[in-house]
Amino acid sequence: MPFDRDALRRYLLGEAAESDAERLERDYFARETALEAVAEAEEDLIDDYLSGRLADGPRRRFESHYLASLEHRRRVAFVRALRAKAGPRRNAWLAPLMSLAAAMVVALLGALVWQRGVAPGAGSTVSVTLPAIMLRDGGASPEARIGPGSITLVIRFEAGSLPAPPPLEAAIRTVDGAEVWRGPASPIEGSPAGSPRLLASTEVPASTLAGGDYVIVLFTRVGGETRELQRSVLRVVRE
Amino acid sequence: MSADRPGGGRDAGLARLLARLDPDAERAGAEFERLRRALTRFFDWRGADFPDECADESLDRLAARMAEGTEVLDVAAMAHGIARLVLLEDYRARGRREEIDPDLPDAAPQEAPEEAPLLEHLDACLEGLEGEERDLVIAYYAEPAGRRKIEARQRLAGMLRLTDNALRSRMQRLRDRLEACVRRRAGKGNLPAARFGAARHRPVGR
Repeated sequence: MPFDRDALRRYLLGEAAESDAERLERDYFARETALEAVAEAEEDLIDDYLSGRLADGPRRRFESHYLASLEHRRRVAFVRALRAKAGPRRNAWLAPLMSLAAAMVVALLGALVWQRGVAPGAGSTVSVTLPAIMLRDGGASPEARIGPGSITLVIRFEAGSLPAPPPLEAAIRTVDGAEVWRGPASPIEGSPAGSPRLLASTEVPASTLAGGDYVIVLFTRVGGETRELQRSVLRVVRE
Repeated sequence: MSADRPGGGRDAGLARLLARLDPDAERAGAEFERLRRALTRFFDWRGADFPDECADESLDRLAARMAEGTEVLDVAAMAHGIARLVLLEDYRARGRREEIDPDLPDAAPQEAPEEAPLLEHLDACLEGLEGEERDLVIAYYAEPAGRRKIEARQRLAGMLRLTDNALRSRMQRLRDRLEACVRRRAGKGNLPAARFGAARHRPVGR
């Protein structure tokens, strides 16, 4: 008997009527196929969440209901780690082709800029500036909207009160603490008048980030020791 | 909460439960494992703090009923009924904890450990799998979502000469094992105390 995917999702998001939930539970207590169908729906739900494919309503429900459970937060972190583990191996043989494709896209964009006078970076580069102080409440997190044509995400860090001698390094972590990217950050000398003073910037391949919330950390290295300078939350929205 | 009944009541109940599940001991073991999995999932999906322990508590109560001579016509339905009661108790206990002291650290901390080196644990747990199982996990999760994921998994099932359902089922079990392994490694030392005591019924054959 086929299972109603939407009904299974409603159950997992705590939106099913109690009578429907009970009926489904009786079914999966009695039949292995029903249990597997719910488990599969859960896996799809997590995949969709991590890929930024959930619409606003279900995403909010997922975060407020499903992720309210520690077990579920651990599971999402686990699946994210599993995907991170599986992804690079899958792409190993594709890497040369991807580089070539990226070079062709850059060349094509360059040609468009030359022909039409389009501002450099439009479409292919997304920029976001992170405040030096992380606000815990009130005010939304900075947001980076990454479209299908986006290649690079440029993250700029506002200058804080701490001294920040080079070399600088940035790391991107999921809210569960799994590191998804790490790379060098370049100091920025001087900022346009009237804008906040900027400290550094880093360039991240846009393909690294799925939709969701991330913690961005900026480090410096002093006497062989890594010292954290700033920590911000960034929301990535996949368009 | 239920405790060991005098005179080995729990063991007798467990033996009755197994016999009721299937006269063949091996098949009864498999059926018992399936029932435990359904219970654990039920508590997990309903947001209980400790799904494994709630599942064990439910099995203990089911075994106790059988030891008392209660006639059970439908084991799965009876297990579901008992599980719903255990869940209610779990919700109430949580409510009481919060009522007594709202500042009391929750049995389940709000955030997963932020710096948990999950990938490191995952590596170690993947190493613990057979080579073929490890390759299967990596191949299964190579495509993250959407149509490409579905097509890739269909191709994988074809290569292994399995039906899509059989592959999914095999992966589900592998994933459960991996997840439990990662959780054990990541949670060592910082897991909250068990609500119903240590887990009593270990999955068969693991």
